[in-house]
Formats: sequence, C-alpha cells, structure tokens
Amino acid sequence: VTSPTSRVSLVRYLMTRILLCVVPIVGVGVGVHWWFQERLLEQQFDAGLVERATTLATLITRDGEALRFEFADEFMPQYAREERPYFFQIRHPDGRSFERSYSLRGEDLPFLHGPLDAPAHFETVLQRGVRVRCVGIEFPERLDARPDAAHPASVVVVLGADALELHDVLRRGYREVAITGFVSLAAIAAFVTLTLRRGARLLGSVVREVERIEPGSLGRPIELERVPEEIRPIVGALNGSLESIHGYVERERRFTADVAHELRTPITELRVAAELALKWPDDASTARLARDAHAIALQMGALVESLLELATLESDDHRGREEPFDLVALVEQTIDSALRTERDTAARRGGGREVALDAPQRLMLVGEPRLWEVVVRNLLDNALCYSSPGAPIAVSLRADGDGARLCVSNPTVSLDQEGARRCTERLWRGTARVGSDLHFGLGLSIVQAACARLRQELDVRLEQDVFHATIARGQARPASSSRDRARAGHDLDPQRSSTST
Amino acid sequence: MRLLVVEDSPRLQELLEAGFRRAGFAVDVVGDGPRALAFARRGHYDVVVLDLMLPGLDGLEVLRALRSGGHDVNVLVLTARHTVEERVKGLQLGADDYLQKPFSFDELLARVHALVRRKYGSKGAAVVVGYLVVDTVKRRVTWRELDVPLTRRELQILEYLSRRRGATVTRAEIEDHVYGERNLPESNAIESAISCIRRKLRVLGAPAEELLQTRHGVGYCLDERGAP
Repeated sequence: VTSPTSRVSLVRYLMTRILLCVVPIVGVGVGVHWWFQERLLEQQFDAGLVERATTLATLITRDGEALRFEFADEFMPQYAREERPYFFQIRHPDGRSFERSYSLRGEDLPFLHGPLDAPAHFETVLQRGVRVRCVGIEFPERLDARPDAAHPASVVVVLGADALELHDVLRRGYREVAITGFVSLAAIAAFVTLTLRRGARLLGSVVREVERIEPGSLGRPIELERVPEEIRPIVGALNGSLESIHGYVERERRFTADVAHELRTPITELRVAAELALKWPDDASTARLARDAHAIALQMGALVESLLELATLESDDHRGREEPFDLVALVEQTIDSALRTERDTAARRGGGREVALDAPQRLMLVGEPRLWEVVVRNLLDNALCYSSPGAPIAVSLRADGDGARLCVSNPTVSLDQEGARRCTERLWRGTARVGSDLHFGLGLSIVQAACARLRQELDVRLEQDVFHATIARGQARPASSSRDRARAGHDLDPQRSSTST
Repeated sequence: MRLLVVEDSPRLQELLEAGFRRAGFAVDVVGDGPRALAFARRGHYDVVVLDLMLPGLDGLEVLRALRSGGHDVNVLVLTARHTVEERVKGLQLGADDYLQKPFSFDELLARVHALVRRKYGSKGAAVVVGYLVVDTVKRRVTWRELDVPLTRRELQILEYLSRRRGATVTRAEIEDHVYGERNLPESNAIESAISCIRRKLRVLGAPAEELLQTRHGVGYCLDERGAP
C-alpha cells in the first residue's frame, strides 16, 4: 500500500482501486446493454420493413402470364412523401424491374434478396444522398401469408426506409445510456467515497486513542471492543508494543529508584559524618570523617562500576574477542583471587573460607574468557558474601554441549524461597545487608547478562537452606556454529577434586 | 535519655551512636530485626530510631510486633524508601515520626528531642524546676542564671530527673535511661553522681538536699516544692 517515502491516503487508495475496478465493469455492462438494445431496435426496424414488404407482395397478382400490382398512392402516402419516405422496387426473379415507388425517382435499389424466412438486410445510399436501410425478399409463387390474396407471382420485393430515423433513435438511445452510465458512475464514486470516509472515521477514533497515549498512561491498552474488527490485529500489536514499552519504562523507573535508594545510605553516612565533624570539631571526628569519606567513596565507586559493568553487558555494542581457553584454569585462578580479596573480611567475620572445586583436568572452550571470569567471580563473591562465616562453598564444573555447566552452592543467611525467586532482580537484597559494603544486589544480574552473551542460562534454587546457582547451556538461543564446536576441544579427563582455602 | 538505634549499615551505626552520645543520650545500637525487637522489648528506651531495611526482620515487622505487644515506646522510623504509601504504612503501624534518608543529624536530633518532650509532657527544650533550668538542647543547667558545671553523666541524670520532676525515680530507672547496655554503671556510680550534683548546686547557693531529695530505699526526686 505504501512506499517508505510516500504519503498515501488509505481512503484515496481504496477509492482509486474501487473505481478502477467499477468503471470497466460498468462500462462493459453499459456497452453490452447498448449492443443488445441496438440489435433489438434494428430487428424491430427490420421486422417493420419485412411486414411492409409482405404487405406489398400481397398486392401483386397474376393476370394470366402478366403480373399486376394493385397499388393506390392515396392509401400508402409514405411511398410518395418528400420527408423520410419509404422506397420499394419489385422485380422479377431474373432482376427485371416490374414496379418501383415514386420516392425512388427512377433509381434502382440494389438487387439483393433472400427467401422469406431469411431476407437480406442491407443499407444503401441513394444518389441524392439519402441513406436507406433495405430488406430484399423473394416471395414464392404462392404466398399464403394472406389467405384472401390471389395467386401472386414469384417476385422479389426490395423495400427500404430512410435510415435517418433509426439512426436518430439509436443516437438518442446511446446518449441516454451514456448519461445513465455517467450518472451511475458518479453515484458509485460518491457512495464509495462517503462509505470509505465513514469507515476512515473509525480509524480516526483509533488515532485519537493513540494520540491520547502519554508516558503515564502506557499501561492502559486501547480497548479492542471499540475498534473495527479488521484493524484489531494492528491495535492488538500496538497494545503489545505499548505493554512492552510500559514494562521497560517501569523497569527503568524501578531501577532508577533502586539506584537512588542505594545511594541514600552512603550519602546519609557522609552527611552525618561531616555534620558531626563540624558540630564537635576535634581530631577524632576529623579523622573519622576522612576515614568514612574514603570508605563511602569506595562504596559508591564500586556501585558505579557494577552499574557500568551491567550496562556494558546489556549493550548491543558489546563485542568481545573470542579465543580458546581452559575454563578449569580460569575458575581456579578466579577462586584464588576471590579468596585473597575475601581473606580480610573473612578474618574479620571470624574464620577463613573454604571453596571446594569439583572439575575435570581441563575443559577447553572457545569464547570470551573475560565474560566467564565475570560470571565465576560474581557467583563466588555472592556465595562468600551471603553465606555464614566458615560455611563451605562448593563449585562443580562439567562440559555441557559446546558450553559448560557450572554450579556454585553455599549455605544461605536468611534467604527464603521468595528471596531465591527474586534474587536475580537488580539491586535486590531482600532485607539482608550482610558482608561487605561493596555488595549491592547486582552480582546475579551481572551474571545473568553475561550468561546471555555466553549463550548460557542462569538457574537459581534454594534446597534445604543451601543456595545453588547453576550456569548451563541455554535452550532458548541456538548453539554456536559447528565451526566453533569443532574448534572447542572438551577434555574429559578423569574427575578431580580440589579445595582452596 | 536512652535511645535504641536500629540501623543495618555499620558505618551509620557508629556515626549515630557517636552523635547521640555527644548530644547527651545513652545509646544502644543493633543492626538486625530480631535483636532490635529483643532490645526494644527489654529496655526502657525513651526513643527507638528504627531503620526499615533490616536483615532478619523488616523494620515494619519490628514496629508491628512492638505495638501488638503493648509497647508504647516512641519510634522514629528512618528509611531510604520515599513512597507515600510506605510512610503511611509506617505511621499506621504506630511510628511516631518519620525521617527519610539522607537526613541531617541536627534534624534527627531535634525530632528525637521532640519525641522525648512528648513522652514527658513538656513543650519547650528547657525544663524549669524553680530557679533550676535544665536546657536539654543547649546541654546547659543554670541555678538563678548561674551555670552549673556538670559532667556529661551528671547532666544526663539531672535531665532525666527534671523530665520526671515531682516523681520518685528509682535507681534502676536512672540506670535504664542514662546508661546503655554496653556502659553499665558501677555499683555506686549513681549515688556518686547525685552527690556531685548536689555539691555543685550547693556551691551556687541552692538548697540541694531539698531540691534533689533522697527517698531512702526507693530512689530520688527532683521536687519543685523543695525549691525556693
């Protein structure tokens, strides 16, 4: 219907198309009708000629060997008048002329004829320019059309009439049909236009509904009951899009509120520390302010870093370098690094931490090792932060198709099934603020975003107070290409277990 | 006056504890819901400063449990959330005041003072007992407009006695409202502090024994009838 750059009116388009269809149909209909009318008029005209010729034939009698024509001008003035006269010529079968009307003024009519049941109809033009439509009939020896007639001789009667009248009638008829056709077409065009405009008003009501949509009313769909059935799929699709946009806007609003909420506590700390230092200025309060300000800056910086990490992973522009790497080695290094970072906190919280790794000797993958590091590091940090001090953390790693299956398990601190269901929501920490100030409830969201890049899926579940976070090959997205699979070598050496502390 | 500060952020806990102590309050601090409920039920706090986001038990649940148990301690709710619904819910559950993060410590202090005044039925910041004036905001005590040089602990005791002027206050009540859980007094600390207050009042010519009476075997009473 539309080209990308043109502005097309649907009403004009439909009207044009309908008229382009209707005009030929009406034209052909009128033409056929006119053709039949013309034939009918000609037949009626010709039938009149035949009747007149037959009448003339009944006036012919045989008188011995001679023929006699009993014609009286006073009874048939039409054969003598100047204005639109009738013409006739009676001939013998061999063509000799026997009698002709005065209106012919001595001219001959063409000697064309046929039997009574198939007379010859033709037109000719007299020398004085009169166009004459004729019928030529050869009447047999005995003509029984008139029972009272004598025994007529076999003669050929050619009878004509001025065709001007016929052509006048035909012309009038043609004009009437043409006018009727034009009026009909105009009426059809007007009706079609009116109907389409009325139909377009329904579209207008939908347009007004759409125009009323504002950022605050995205959640209210357009009522389908008030929409014409034909455009319900469009409005339905529009409602679907609005719902998606509403969901997106709502998520963004919640996210903004959550970020603001996350920042409120450190800002409060900073403000109270500064106010106390100003209210009771001494060395101790100044030192506390400096220490707190530094810690708060680190905390807010960590929050910003986490948000940026999440934004980068969710960005369509993210393009990392893929390369073959050993996932087992990467996991071991990440565990060591996480434990080093955790060591101070763990000591502060009353004991060292233990991470048990159950993995094959090697597990070669082709992918972005940085993404895998992000996944493993965040899962480990999550487990270290949200588990009891000294509680064991278990990491298991297996090949899974052309990806890997990684599971991190840890006993939980105050997490229920509702918490397990919501723990992948951004900035969600439930009511638990435990562990380091550098955790904001973004870890599992980051893992989820990284998994989407790795064509893996994150599954979390809580079983008997043990939290399991499992990364496995995703089903929703297609697996990597066969070329990638060929490049990935899965070394399934005998299992090994190791423990890092 | 004795406060319970319930806040899950360790840093904010420390800051609020330090600030309230400097402002003359006895402060107990807890960081989770269950301990907050246990402390509030057990202690005789003048005000509970309660954060809503708490591990273990949500702040609103703590408030609900306190009110359903018949505890009428004044509760000032702190929250990082800002929705009207949440504020209304908190107030409907029995919160006496509401303060949204980030807040000014001075505002928090003023609101806590207001709740303390409301509890003891006084309108202004200063409590007047005859010629004795105890200004709880300026942290100043005067006798006939002469400053009484009191220590922080003495000021706290006198402030509490002035809030309950005319009533006999037991030694245990003074302990509850002036000393925190982590700063329990020595066995004769209160008697010693009362003695010091009387001595400092006498220096200024005040009838200390009549003003700050000892009810033997019961406690102490700051009585205006004893003041000229």
